[in-house]
Amino acid sequence: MPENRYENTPRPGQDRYVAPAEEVTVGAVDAIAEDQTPSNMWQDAWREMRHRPMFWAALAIITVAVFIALFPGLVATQAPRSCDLAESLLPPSTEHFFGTTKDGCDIYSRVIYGARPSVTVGVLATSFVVVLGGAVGALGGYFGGLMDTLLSRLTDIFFAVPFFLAAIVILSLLPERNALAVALVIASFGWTSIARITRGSVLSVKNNEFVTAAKALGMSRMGILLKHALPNAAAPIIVYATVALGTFIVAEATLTFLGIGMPPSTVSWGGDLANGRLIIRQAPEILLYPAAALGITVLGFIMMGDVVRDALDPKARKR
Amino acid sequence: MLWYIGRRLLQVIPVFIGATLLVYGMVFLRPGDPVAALGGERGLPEAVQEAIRAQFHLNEPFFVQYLYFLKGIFTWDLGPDFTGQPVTETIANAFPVTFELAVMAIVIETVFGIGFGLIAGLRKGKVFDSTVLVWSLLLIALPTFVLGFVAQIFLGVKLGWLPVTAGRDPNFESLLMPAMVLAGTSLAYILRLTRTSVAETITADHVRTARAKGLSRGQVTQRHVLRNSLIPVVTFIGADLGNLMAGSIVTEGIFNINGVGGTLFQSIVRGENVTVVTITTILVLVYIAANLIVDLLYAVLDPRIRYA
Amino acid sequence: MTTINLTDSVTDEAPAGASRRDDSAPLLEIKDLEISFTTATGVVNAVRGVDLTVYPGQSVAIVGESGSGKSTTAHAIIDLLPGTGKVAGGSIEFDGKSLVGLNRKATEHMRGREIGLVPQDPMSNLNPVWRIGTQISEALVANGFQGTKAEREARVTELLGEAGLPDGDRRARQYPHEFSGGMRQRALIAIGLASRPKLLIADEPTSALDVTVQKKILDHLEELTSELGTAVLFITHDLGLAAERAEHLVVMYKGKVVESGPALEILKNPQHEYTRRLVASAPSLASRRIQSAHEAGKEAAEQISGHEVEVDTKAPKDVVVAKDLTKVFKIRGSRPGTHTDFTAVDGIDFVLPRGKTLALVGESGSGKSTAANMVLGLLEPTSGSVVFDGKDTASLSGKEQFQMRRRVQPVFQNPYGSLDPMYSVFNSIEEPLRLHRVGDRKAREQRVRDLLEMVALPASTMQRFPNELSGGQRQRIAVARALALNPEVIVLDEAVSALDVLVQAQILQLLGDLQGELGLSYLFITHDLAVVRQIADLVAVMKDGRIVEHATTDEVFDDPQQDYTKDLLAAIPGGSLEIGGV
Repeated sequence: MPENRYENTPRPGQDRYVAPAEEVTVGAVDAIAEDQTPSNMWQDAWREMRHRPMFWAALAIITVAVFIALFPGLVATQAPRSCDLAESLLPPSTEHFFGTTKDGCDIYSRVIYGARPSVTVGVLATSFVVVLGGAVGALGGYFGGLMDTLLSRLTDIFFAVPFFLAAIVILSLLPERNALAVALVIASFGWTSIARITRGSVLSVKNNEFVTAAKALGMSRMGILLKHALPNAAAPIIVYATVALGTFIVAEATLTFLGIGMPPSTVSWGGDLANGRLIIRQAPEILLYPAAALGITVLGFIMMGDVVRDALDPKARKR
Repeated sequence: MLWYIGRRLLQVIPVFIGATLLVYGMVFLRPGDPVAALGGERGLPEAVQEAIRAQFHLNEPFFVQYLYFLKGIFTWDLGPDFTGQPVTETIANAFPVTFELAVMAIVIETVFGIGFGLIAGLRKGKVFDSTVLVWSLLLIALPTFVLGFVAQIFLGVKLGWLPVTAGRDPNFESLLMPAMVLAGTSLAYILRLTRTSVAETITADHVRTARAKGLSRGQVTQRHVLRNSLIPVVTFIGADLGNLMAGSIVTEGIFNINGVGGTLFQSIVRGENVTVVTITTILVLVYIAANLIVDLLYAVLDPRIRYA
Repeated sequence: MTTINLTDSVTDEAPAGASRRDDSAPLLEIKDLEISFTTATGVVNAVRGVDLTVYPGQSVAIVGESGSGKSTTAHAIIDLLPGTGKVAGGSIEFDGKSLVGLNRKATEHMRGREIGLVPQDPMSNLNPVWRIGTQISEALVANGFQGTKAEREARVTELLGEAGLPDGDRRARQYPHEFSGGMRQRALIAIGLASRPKLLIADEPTSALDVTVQKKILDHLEELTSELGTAVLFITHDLGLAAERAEHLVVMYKGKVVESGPALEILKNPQHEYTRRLVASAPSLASRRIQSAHEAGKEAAEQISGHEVEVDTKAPKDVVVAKDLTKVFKIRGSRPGTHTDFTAVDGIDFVLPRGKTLALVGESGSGKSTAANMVLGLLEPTSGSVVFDGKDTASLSGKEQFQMRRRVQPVFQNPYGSLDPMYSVFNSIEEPLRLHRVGDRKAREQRVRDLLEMVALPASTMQRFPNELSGGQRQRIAVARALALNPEVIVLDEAVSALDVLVQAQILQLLGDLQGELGLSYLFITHDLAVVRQIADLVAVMKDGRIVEHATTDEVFDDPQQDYTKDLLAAIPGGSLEIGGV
């Protein structure tokens, strides 16, 4: 290397070069692009989701499922319990779209009426779980210390008891069961995941500088939790809750299938699957309809959770 | 490292006590009197009932009963059930097959979940990835018992590849289908978790550095992507062993396997509270033990934890 | 210092002709390079028509702000463009061979062996699950190291020693998390140079490190590469650093080369509008300039933001006084029940006179931010006191404390964390007004408007959300929020450290103007002495929780008393440059 490298004459390819001023115009430092329309996280997510077919498919499934659950009478062709033993095991026809059961019930109408208990339990259980798990997670994560230790241990305890086992034990003890009872039992052991998610998310928000800035303004801890920490933790909670709604519907159907969920007097997918199972070798296709209805409904919620997660993913949104 | 294990063991104690107390309370605080119901319509004479209550400590306060129960668990002497068969024997008969089933399911979900998840994560957005993702959604959306029917109808009845039900003393072949069905949902979760984790790791700075060193693609995947991505997956698998054993209640019912699920069900119906609580407690213990193993594995995989 | 051991076990297999070419033929020649990324909204051209030449053994630097395409260019050379990035046109020739469109095998062969990389962030660039030694040795194996395991281990030790980590045997067995940032960077240098590449790409190799560590590592790297005859391509945002370390500079802006040529020539005589602004704003250079002007006896007032303010004579002259301020943290040990005391701030005293700026300067772990948080009332001092406007803050009642919060407000470092992403700009700035019940809705809206004007942002910014704004814009919003309640003191905790040079200069200017207008007092926390020269009246240098030197800015720069202060001053990049007075 030459002694004085600065006085070196430039070598080929390293001559002094200055771009013509008009070629690269230097803009004002840090100017605001005023032509863009303002948008926040939710609007961005909406813009992102709008272009995904999966979002529309999921939305359609959920809308139809909820509509049917609310107004089964508008969609069904006959009452679910008006069965005629003479019409046992008919193949699909214009009168019975999906055929009939062994007892001669119209499978189509039963599938339609079966939506209500599933959707009701799903929605109720999810609401309970979000409130309970959200509160436990948010309080523990935000306040830390002894409160966090106690709430975390409590979460661990409930997490350690196998969900299905606990649900079976409790439900078998109940003299009378309905959608509310099933939802409460599911929620009482299903809140742990959402508590952990909320806690983690509140913990990560808590260390942000805007929270410190709010403290420096003299905002109370509860105020910060409600005004800053929770809104920012909302995204993962919503994503999880959407998926959880689907899995709670699965749980309800499974419990009913086992005979300890919805009572036999209620028309439900789980119950019909249990009945259909008795003649699985004889007419396996009877199982198909309630199973498909159940699967598609759950798929709708899970797909929605997936799409929302992708749209809200901060890594994908990074500018 | 020893302190790490010690601390984890200490944390386990409150969880164990809390969870067993919870289960015990749930079962024993139930309304109704199993003893009174024993003798059928007419009931047993009052004196006999009293004797039975005394034998099972049913007259003692709740917490004393709980302590007797804990003692029974640790000495593995829980006395006879109402029919006279030792509770431990009933349970010892039920557990092996369920355990076998759960382990087979773990192997299946681990191998296929991680395998497919890895390929999908490395080829995020490609055809394989999208296909696998759709299948994983389906697996999650279908309840285990529906999956069981589908497997029975197609693999068992239509194709005749595997036995439709397992029955008593099942062999490996007849447990294969139940294990696959049991593994289904978790397989989908593991696949998705691995996929996300791998897709995230391959964009990590240290992976780029590894490539800049001149490592081949295979070496980078094997040494730098896979191991780092597996850390969250291992946690899931560990927590899942307990869930699988509990979840086998459904699978066992469908495939006629006489394991923990069947025993538990019968015990609930017959009001054999000790058996119910013991089975649940063992499952809690399995869960706790599996989690401990995971924590140790975690420390092996991630040196940051080992020396923390 | 370390002795550099240059036993080179990789045999030089270059053909005989190579040495002749060494002198005249370029090692790396990039012509008209175009790089594009495919995004959802279309194709983005990140790099447009870049020319770059590096000769063997030479050091060249690409200088530019974030988004200028400098790192993208560097990554294109070793075919490590992220995501959808691809070379859309132009050529990259290395040692006479084209690197564009090379097959995978040839690319893997080239990486490490021909071209090494020292990446940007030492914290994330080593795999946390493998030992340091393993990570170096795999680089050796991948690049054809022939030898036994023992020989390889010996070589790893040697390489670590060479990179400035003596005791290599032990170091090789450690994991990355046991290393400090500087040590990790040294390990990364060892990896980059492990197979004796002809070219080393150093992508902001030290920007994440403390200044004194930065200087040591760069000195070492320079020594090492010149001994080995390795050419170095620096990627940096710091013009001072680039000029000091490289002979040839390439200035990039928005994906294009705006100016290139011999380093010193560009510095002395910048031609392009952008380069001129850069030279004028770079803190390291500005600080040197003020320094030389000062030495020449000139009044440097125009370089230092002028802020002579009429001081209210009735109020105490010193608005914040820290007396023997101490903070001890308890750190939980690995064994249950054990903890160690960590004294973050150890009995410091300082005064912030009304209307002035006091800079608390120190490297990471010096306790400067802890001190700032105690002034803000966010942390309770373990002992000692903060006296605000004549009153000890510890003696305040809850209500008085709430009132005091109006008078001391913070602006933090991270422009991405300092604003709630769920809040619009209006909500963010209005929050302090609402919380302290200032005015009605209409009055508050007017106030937000005024505040935005004060920080030179259009009123239309109100409806926007933080994710739509640049780092500099967010920092201005943070300043506006801090000003909302008419505070007397603003604590600026590394408030400009994360910003690009030009934006940084702009914010500093804004802060200076606001101080003049509103009579604000600033407590300016920073690791960067170069910036201090531009803004502060008084300096307190912190090290390991103590203040080692507390004097006026001129005194500290002209006549530093402590060795540590001297080290810090010497570490400002561009120290060896003779750029003369203004």
